[in-house]
Amino acid sequence: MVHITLTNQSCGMDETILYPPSPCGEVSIVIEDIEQYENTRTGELYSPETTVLSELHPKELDFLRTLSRDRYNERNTGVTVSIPKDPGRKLKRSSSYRGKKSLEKENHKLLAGGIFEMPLHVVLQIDAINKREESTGGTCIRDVKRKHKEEGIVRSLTPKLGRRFGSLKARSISPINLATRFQNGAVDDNDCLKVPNSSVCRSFSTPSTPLDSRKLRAGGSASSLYNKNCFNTPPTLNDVISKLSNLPSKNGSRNHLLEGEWLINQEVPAIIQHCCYYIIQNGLDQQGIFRVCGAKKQVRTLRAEFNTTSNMHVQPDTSVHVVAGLIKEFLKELPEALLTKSLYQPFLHCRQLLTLEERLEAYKELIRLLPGPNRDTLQYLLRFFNVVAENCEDRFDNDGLPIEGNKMDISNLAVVIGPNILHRRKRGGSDSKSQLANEAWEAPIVIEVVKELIQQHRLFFTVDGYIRKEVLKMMHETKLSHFNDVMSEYTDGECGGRLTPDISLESKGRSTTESENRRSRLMNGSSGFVSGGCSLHSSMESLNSRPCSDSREECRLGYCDHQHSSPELSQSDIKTQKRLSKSVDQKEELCDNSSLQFQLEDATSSSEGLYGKDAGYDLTPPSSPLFERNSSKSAFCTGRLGKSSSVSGYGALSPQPDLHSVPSE
Amino acid sequence: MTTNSSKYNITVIGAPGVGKSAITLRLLYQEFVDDYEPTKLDSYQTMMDYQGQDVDVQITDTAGQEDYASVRDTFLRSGEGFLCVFSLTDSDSYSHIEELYNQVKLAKSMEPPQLPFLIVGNKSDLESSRQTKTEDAQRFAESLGVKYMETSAKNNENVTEAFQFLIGMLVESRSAETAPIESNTGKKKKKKNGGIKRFLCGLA
Repeated sequence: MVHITLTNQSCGMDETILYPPSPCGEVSIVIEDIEQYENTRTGELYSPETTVLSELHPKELDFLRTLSRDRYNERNTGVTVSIPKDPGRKLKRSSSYRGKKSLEKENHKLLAGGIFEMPLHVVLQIDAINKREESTGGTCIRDVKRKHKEEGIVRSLTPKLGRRFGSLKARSISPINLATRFQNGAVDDNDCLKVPNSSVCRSFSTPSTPLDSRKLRAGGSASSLYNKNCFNTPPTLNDVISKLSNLPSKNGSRNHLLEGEWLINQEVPAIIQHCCYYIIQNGLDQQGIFRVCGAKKQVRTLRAEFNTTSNMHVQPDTSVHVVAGLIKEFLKELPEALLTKSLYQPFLHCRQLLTLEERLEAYKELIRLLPGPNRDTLQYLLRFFNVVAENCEDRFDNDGLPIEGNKMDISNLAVVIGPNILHRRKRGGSDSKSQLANEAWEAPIVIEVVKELIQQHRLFFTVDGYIRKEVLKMMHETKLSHFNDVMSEYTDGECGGRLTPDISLESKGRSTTESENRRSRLMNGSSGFVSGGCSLHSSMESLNSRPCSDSREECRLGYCDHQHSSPELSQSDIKTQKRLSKSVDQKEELCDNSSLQFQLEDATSSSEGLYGKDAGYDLTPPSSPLFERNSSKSAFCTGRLGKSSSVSGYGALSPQPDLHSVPSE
Repeated sequence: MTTNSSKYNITVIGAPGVGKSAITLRLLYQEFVDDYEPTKLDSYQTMMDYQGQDVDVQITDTAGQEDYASVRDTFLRSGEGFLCVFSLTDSDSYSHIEELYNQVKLAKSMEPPQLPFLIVGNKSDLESSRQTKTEDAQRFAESLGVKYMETSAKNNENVTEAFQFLIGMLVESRSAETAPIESNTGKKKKKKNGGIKRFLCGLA
């Protein structure tokens, strides 16, 4: 562990700290005065946080896509990339104008088509219809009885846990209740079937019923109805799952799975979620999972079940190989590859970039171009494959009994998954011979790309605050109406991609420590999404170096908290900001005699110093003159970082100091 | 001792994880490879002895996964002899045989006995966890009109024999075809000569 303590009397908290680790094991810390930058910005009042892509406003995302496309094209990989069409987009808009009857008709048509060989957005629509019908008792009459029984249990829970549990009402049992029953070993089959709906909670973005009456954000799909729901899990559940999957809980590998790494608010087909969940519960230790193919007959039966019924259950005695096979089949049979046909070449051409950092940046840019459902599903799967890969080695459980690993490490998984998510085949397989031959040649490249995607999955699905700033600026300059829309929605707290009040405009009346704590609480609320296994734990501590332990804890307990707590906070902050925005002098007082303390913990990542590039890139985006001005002002410090050569975690790269308070425990 | 200049192509097919690579590597390097690594596509060249003749053999080790089905299909077309492997300890892989057999038949538009095809039940060393009976497999192979063998890549049982059997079939089928092949090459040569002549004329 290395402590780097920096003290800068003049600019204090408004500094940006970046860590571009140099290859020789030294770390340079760049302090940048962004005060001026902040004030000349278009969104003066706010400085955007590092945010998960799926939380961004669709309009902001559009601009981000344009920016990412341009950035990729500047790389000269040999191909130019264009933004793949999002077929679900048009549909969302038009469907809202249709009459109820025609909509119903359409729904039936959709349901009849099944979920296989359908575009992702259609699959999501079907999921939404299923859920809706389920909640009204439409198709699952046999569940109604149980529903009533369970509702009693859940209701007793709801007042305590708030609206987050609202969505559990429909067809599920209380997680706590389930937990105790699991512990007693008294779980009947039916309960097992319901697991994905109840106990997954925070671990999985479980489709739940659209009881949540919150209005959808503009452009939100029907499917995001249930995705909007947040869950929280009683802590006991984690123990249960860890018991179930028979893994030592101290084994850090699984922690991020259980502690909120699985995202909510995402558009992931229910079939994927159910199947992945089933595998996590039953088959992480099965040798050759995803490699060995299950019995074809069983796969066909399971597929038919998923296709025709709204009850997406995997029978408890199903072989995990069958379930894994079904996941692969679903992915393979999507009309367009998960990573889309138009991005196939660009992804492959990333391999031409020499350094890993460059490649990762390029992947990041490409992933931003993906349509929402594709991106969310990809993220979900990459995380899932990481969990699978973490169980590849033989090990011992808590009682010292040997557990055989599944032997599927990341490269093995890439071999079997790669061609299913990254290809350019047409459906029906009417490809020419030469194309097939090409595919054989390109297979190793596909595998390498997918391997890197799985390995570094944490990097790809967030957007740094400074990039968002650039995007917002671009919006402001080109489409003011969109900019205003986005801003108003962010300030309403409707969208997850909220903007946090600018630090430099923080009220002086409040004590600095208090505001600091509050700010990091806000930040943690969202950065908890990405905190997972950050190898860099840098905590920006308050003036008297008091750790904001409360905020970290909050994050660990439930990262969806911010959705409820932040709107009020940010709104009041905005008010104070407005009041105080004139008094620039006050800011300076606030910034005085501040010290920054960082803790670089376990900055040992296998990523070959990839963030060095990242950080450099962060500092000087070529298009922004503002950045240039700032970088001329920046001071460079260098400190030794022992043997650790890289820093990970998104927060570490963003220009806002408070983003560093990403918990890593 | 004469050396046959033309190459024989043997393609190893079968469900994932049945030991296709293990058999291939056992033949080539005389050792049992215990790595757990799915194959994408590997191709090896080796010299094998067949009845005192050195035969040049190319062995294509394919991926068992359906994920590589499209890649595999191209190699089915270029393959000549097919070693179709299943695992005696995995009945699912046994049930894949028929499908593979049909695919090969379709790609080559040939049927046994002309089609050099051999069904191999691997992992015969794991007798305790055997799921497919020898008699059943034997009967099944007969119904398709092909031969059946049981091998163990681990204990080096029947591995060389299996390949030898296929090469025997290939050598025989080729010697039967030599006449039409020769006439073909003759035609080609003629054409080539004509082309060169015409080219020379053009120069003059």
